[in-house]
Amino acid sequence: MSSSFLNVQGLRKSFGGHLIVLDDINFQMEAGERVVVIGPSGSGKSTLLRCVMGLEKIDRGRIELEGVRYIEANPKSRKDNFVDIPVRNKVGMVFQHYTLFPHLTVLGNLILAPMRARGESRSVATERAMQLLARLGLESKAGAFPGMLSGGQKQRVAIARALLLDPKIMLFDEVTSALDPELVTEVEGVMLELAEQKMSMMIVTHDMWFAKRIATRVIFSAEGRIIEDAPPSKMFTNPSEPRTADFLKKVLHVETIS
Amino acid sequence: MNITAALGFLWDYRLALSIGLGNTLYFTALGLAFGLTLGFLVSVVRQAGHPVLRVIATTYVEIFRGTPVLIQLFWFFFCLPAILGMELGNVFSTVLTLSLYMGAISSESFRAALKSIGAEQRDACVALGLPARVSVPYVILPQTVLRAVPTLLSNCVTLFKESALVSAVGMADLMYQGQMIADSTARPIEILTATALIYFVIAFSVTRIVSFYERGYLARMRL
Ligand SMILES: Nc1ncnc2c1ncn2[C@@H]1O[C@H](COP(=O)(O)OP(=O)(O)O)[C@@H](O)[C@H]1O
Ligand SMILES: [Mg+2]
Repeated sequence: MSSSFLNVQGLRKSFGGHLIVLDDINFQMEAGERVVVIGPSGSGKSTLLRCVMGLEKIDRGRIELEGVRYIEANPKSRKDNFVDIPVRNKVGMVFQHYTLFPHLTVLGNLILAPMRARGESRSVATERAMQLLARLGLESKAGAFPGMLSGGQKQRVAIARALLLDPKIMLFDEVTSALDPELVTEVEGVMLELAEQKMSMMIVTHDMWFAKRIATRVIFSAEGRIIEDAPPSKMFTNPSEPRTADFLKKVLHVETIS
Repeated sequence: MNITAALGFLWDYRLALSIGLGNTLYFTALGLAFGLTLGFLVSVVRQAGHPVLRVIATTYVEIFRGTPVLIQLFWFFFCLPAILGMELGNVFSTVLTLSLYMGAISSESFRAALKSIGAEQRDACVALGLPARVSVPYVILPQTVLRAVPTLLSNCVTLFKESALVSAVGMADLMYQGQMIADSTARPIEILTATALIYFVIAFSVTRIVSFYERGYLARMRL
């Protein structure tokens, strides 16, 4: 038991038993922190977020939110994890590929979970959804199907859909990677706004400038381990680990020439 | 033979042909209703059911897809009553055959559609805290049906055309009526051509609806 807001203890995740993607991850964050996870592709950043969301079965370890264990590996058998669903439902996640429900309108996407899983009335859910859409400048799109929206609009709808469930923490997995460059800022703008409201966030991004701007802490992960964990001021100017420096040199170099 | 005379001749038999068409549509509709329900259930069992049930479901599908419908029909009409020692009647055999055949071919369409709904949609359901009682009816099922509609409609056309076989066990469907008129009037050319045309017009319209739907509705939703 720890007093941390989010506490990942001894997390190990493998695929098919042999490919160990996360190896003994220990990680804590406090409420209101914005932790950006960086690292080479294939280093397990998405997997870490997916484990925190409860989308992956973990091999070892446990995850706690506000001191309550909600995911735990079953050490005796390789059977299903322990999952406390009501606690897990306090975690929200936005994915790279929007994952909106294509057969529902924007409003339909937003109110499905509040209405059908949380028992909210249609009128209350609709009113909350419309307020949120208005805040994001999307109220005119309430009746549109996702297929008719731009990538930036889709991603903002996906964020709104998660926010409507009042999450304690939001996970963002490369949410701007699939977007055309000119649409990136409208999505990053929403995330910066959330940061101002002290939303707790874990963010995976390849955009180092955005990372610098939004992070209160940066984690560099490689080969399934956390190599370095530092505030952005330190991470981007004076990293302790040579591997972090190598990585940053590569990505920042590529970004400045491209 | 001139066209006016042929049309006049056909006009005289319009009632008999309409009755035949009515019966064809009736049997097709029953086969569709039972067959689609069965096909959906079978596809779910094959995707997620108990291993034993899965083997049974797969065997059923392969047998009914892999044998001529006429033999299935004869088997249910002649053999099954002999085995059971009771009359089933040709209506029952007909509906049973059409339903089982439709179940087998439509289960493949449903299965392909179910498979095409990616893991990402399921992840989104978990991330939104949707339990199966919500995600299945509101997310998975509607997308499955929307995606399956084109192939299901061609399954319907197939069933509609295959249903002509039921004339072989004496059901007064369109094919049967056409044959009867052809035999009794000794003018098979006009009547069989007209019968074929009726089948064609209906099947072709449904096929057009499919491509319209695919280009319009599905494309708009980017399903
Ligand atoms: N469902 C999966 N099955 C098998 N291997 C996977 C699966 N998901 C991810 N992996 C593997 O796990 C490793 C880490 O993947 P991921 O977490 O997506 O990395 P990142 O997000 O840092 O690019 C990669 O080698 C990837 O191939
Ligand atoms: Mg990733």
